[in-house]
Amino acid sequence: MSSSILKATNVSKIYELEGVEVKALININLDIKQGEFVAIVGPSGSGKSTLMHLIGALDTPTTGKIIIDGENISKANEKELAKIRNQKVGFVFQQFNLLSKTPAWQNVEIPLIYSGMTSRTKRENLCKQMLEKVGLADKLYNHPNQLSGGQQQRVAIARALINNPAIILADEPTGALDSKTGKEILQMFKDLNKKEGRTIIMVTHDLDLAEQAQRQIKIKDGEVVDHF
Amino acid sequence: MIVFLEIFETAFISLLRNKLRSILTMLGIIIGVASVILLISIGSGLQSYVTNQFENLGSNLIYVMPGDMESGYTLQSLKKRDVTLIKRIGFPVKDVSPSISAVTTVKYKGIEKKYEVSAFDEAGIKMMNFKPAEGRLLNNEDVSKNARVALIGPKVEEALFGKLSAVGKSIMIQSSEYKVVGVFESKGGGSGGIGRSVDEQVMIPITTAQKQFNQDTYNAISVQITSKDEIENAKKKIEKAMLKIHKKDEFSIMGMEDLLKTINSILSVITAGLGGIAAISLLVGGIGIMNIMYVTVTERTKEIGLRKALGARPSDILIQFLIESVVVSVIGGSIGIIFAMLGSMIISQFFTSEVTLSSILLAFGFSSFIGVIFGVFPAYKAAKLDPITALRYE
Repeated sequence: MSSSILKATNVSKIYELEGVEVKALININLDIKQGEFVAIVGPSGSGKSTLMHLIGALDTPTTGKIIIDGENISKANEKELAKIRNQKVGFVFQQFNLLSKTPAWQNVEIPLIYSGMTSRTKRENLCKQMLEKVGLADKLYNHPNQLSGGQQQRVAIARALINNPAIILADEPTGALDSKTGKEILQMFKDLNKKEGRTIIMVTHDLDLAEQAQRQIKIKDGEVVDHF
Repeated sequence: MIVFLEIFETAFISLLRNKLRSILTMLGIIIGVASVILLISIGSGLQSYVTNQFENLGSNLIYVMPGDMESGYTLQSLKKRDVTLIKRIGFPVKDVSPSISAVTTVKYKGIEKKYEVSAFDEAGIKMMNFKPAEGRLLNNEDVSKNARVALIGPKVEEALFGKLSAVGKSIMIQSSEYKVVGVFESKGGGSGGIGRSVDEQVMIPITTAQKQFNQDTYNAISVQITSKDEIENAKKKIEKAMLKIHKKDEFSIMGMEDLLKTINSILSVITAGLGGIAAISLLVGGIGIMNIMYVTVTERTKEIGLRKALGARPSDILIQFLIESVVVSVIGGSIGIIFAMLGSMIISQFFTSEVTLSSILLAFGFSSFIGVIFGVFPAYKAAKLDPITALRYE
């Protein structure tokens, strides 16, 4: 059995909203292994977004422990969380979230800048290689608004991969794409998982999409359930 | 580890993207910095002008005046015996000369003007380093003969005679006729609001003046000292001698240095005041930066969220926005300095103005400081944004 890359133990997240306690996650236990392709699935309001934020080190749990590739995020401060997001997690968003006035390769470059890689040539070369890998060798200097939705999502995937993170965390990655392009992007994730052994966690409300993953973690009302 | 170069680049690109906005924001700083430097330069120009004028008049002079300068109590107490008394002191007194002055009407043909008419003896004219531009200066013969002769300033000649020479012509002082024997060389200095220039004076022999104005007393006694270093010593000696025949409040002794010091300290306060008023505009410029930076941070909330998700630490975001505001204020400050120098060059055509290095450093330092202070609040807001909320921002 391969080693655990994400381990959540008794994780709860409780918000206070206008004086009322909202239990977004209750006692979650997860164990995701190196090289798995997991779908976290649940209807809106189930708590899956909250769980994604915790896995992505964008937030810390109220109680319980989350360990990402050996790093405990439960007790991390802002600076340490930033480092974990930079090194351990590669985000892919539904709306791509590219900087619209910045060329493709410089969008991919951002995580390298924050990781402190000082050589500009080195960064530029890495970004070019990565964009070639996602099939955008001829779009290096294009701005996102000159690219199709599928191409933009590929730039985002290249950006997610650039720091060689432990986890690719994709939030509804096909949600803004037509079904054909959506399938291509999904195939890309499958390839990354199979050929490179990358750990992929996909968050979605789409049950058919979730079926494509090796394993599904179903969330309902803040708890992991066997079936809806 | 922060990659500074990239952050600088990001800041510049973002400023270039909003050119009009950046220029308008800079304008506040440009105007602020330019006005601080200009007003200070006018103030220090004035100071060096005054100092110059005083030095032209001879800085190793001491004036003995009637009455008590501090209380403003004046009386007609200085007479010929005082001059003799001071002359008798010897070293360090080099020369002594009484003077009278009054502002009165001076006429030539149809033109009538008011001028300061001063009366000296030959020694007095020499003490103040007057040199003849035309004709001659006043001499002891004029004084002993009570001659009705006048030595006039170049500006008086220009005003009364136009381009013609005044020498040999007759002018009317009050209702008496005087022959112009000479015009002295310009002592320089502008006219226009600040004081009366020496060049606008009419000089007549002291004895003639006593008759003309019907007084046997003097308005002042000028004492020339052998050297600047002896001034304090001379003051003490003169005071001691004067106290033999006068009460303490019947005379005052004043060195040029004292006068200069007093005037300069007044001018320094005025300069600082002018600079302070201009600094308010710099402050307003700073508030302009803060305002626009808040707008920028709000506009780019989503970008900030994304950068944080990709691993930017709060300090990276803080520096990115801080650099933006510092770049605006430093570029604005530099342009302001250039404008101030151009402005000072134009002003110095009409008025004294002197751009000092200290005023440049002050304005530049202040504008960078303002960039940091007013940039830090919006930048801190950006740095503290919650990445989850920021990413959701539309």
